Amino acid sequence: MLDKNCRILSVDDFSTMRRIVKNILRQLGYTNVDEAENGAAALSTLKEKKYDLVISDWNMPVMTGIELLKSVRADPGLKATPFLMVTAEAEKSQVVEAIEAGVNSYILKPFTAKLLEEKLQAMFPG
Amino acid sequence: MAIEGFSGGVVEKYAALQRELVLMVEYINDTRKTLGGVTGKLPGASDVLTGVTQALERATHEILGMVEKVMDLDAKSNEAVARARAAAERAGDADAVAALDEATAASDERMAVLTEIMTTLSFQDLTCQAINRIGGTVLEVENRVRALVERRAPGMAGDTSESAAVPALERLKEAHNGQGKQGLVDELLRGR
Repeated sequence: MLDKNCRILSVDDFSTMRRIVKNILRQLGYTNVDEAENGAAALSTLKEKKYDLVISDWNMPVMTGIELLKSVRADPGLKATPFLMVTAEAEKSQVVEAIEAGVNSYILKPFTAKLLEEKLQAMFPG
Repeated sequence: MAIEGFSGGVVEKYAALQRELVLMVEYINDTRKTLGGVTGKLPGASDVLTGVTQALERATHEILGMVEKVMDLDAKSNEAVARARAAAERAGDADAVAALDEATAASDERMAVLTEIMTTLSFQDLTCQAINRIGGTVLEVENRVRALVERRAPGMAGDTSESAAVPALERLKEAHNGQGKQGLVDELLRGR
């Protein structure tokens, strides 16, 4: 199970979504949550601090979520970071692309707090 | 009118061709005017869409703020209930403990509803993404129509019709610095 004191990075270009994810995580007991507004900002933050989980949107300006995922997996220092994609992209090809790029889990928007909790439990069993 | 050196059939064909050419010119001019009118309206359409997403975002943030406030108040209330429960337990007041447990259960239910309201607000993200896509399409249409109108303009020397002048005028209004403005003014003058 994911430690309640773990450090989580929420990445989304919509501040509303970042706020929603942060609040849901807080409800689930995770209070150590930072935010980034696109993949490039997230990558820069990830190189500065160690994070236990990245929760990222797909469609973002500057650097998309899938580009961020590929960059994370290509970086020896970051490649083991658990990555959860939260997106409205439901195309099979995109889900396959994310899986091939090494995503750990994938949630479709709109989602519920319960679903996020279930996915986190599945990602971090025990 | 008969044309010297041509037979009647050829003259008739020439006259028919001339009428068709006049109709074509009228059609092209009408189309240019219509396109000019559209290019004037399209920036307004994309502005309206941007306004919708901004209003939606503001409203969502306000609702989120209220939900967060209620959640914070609930958390404070829960702390007070927990203190009261501990005191009731120490005093051996079973009825008070049961009542405070009910209050805690009701608070948990309230928190679940608030969380649901919060997640429901993610509709804003999906709606804005859809609106932004439409806005992008409108802008692309605008650019293509504008290019069409501008491509026509150089071949129409001396034409000062509104449709030919509108795109350059619009960009002139949008220009923010002197250099850009001058370039557009020159362009406008050349196309006069």
